[in-house]
Amino acid sequence: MSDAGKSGNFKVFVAGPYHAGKTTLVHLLDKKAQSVERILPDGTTSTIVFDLGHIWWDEGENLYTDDEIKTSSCNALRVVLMGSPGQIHMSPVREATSKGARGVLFIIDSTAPGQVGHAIAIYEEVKLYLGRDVPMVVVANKQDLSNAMKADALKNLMKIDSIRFIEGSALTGQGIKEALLELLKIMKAKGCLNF
Amino acid sequence: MSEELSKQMKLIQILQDTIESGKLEATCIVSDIGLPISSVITDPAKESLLSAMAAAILAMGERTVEELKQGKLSQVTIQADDGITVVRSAGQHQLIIGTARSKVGLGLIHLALQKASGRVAELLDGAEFR
Repeated sequence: MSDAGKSGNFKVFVAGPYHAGKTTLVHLLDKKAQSVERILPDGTTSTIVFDLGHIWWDEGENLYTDDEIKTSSCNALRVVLMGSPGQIHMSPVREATSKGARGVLFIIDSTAPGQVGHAIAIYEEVKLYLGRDVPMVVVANKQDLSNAMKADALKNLMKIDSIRFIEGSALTGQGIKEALLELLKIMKAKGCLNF
Repeated sequence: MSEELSKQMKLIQILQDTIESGKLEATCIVSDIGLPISSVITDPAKESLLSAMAAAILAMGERTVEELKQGKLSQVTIQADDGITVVRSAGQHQLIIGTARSKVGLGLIHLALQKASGRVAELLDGAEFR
């Protein structure tokens, strides 16, 4: 659709370790999102380049899909969601796809505390690419599963005090829009949306 | 000699033949998810970077021709001021990347990598490298 009448667009980088739910999250927020991925021998898929989607934000409490914004009269910002590969060795691709992002939605698998080492490595890597002060919110994903750890426990495990952890499920949608809205508000408060 | 070691030696031979026939600087066989399988490269530190980027480049190329309905991708060629990089599929789950200085003829590089990709596919298809 045309951006006429809308007030700008910017990129949010969706990062996190392998199989944390980044692709599911981007496709939850944008049903028309596109992914460049490979099918693995076990039948699952792995993002090799990116997941690309977008959603509209009215700078308040509302997010809109393409179809919803067409019938809305509000001014909205176009939020480009750029998901990234989570495998450790794909760091050059993460660096390339993170360029220009103004905020980070960081996804971790709450059922896999053993992944915390990978999560911290990618967290530090993203801060290196986008700056130590880049706005970020962590989604403690897969809360729909019975063995999911709580956000506070994951936060303690990762030893990250300065960033908000939000419990969610990219499969059911629980907490995901809340996490994105929280990030967008932080970005706005920090002046990251000035065009 | 184990079967795996024998395969690795054959892959190195293919890569060395390719370097020679294509006048390449470096060449690398990579899994389609970006992990290095075998390489002949002067700076080993660049092997991981080259592997990840090659997998991404080929995946992007395949997706582009799929979206544009342009058939099957042959290869992706990147030309810069001082060099040429070519990536092409080398079987079901692997690809080959070659880099050369720009004074080398593109036809020579393509021909060398085309031949190598056939040999790699013959050797590795059915093998598990993930």
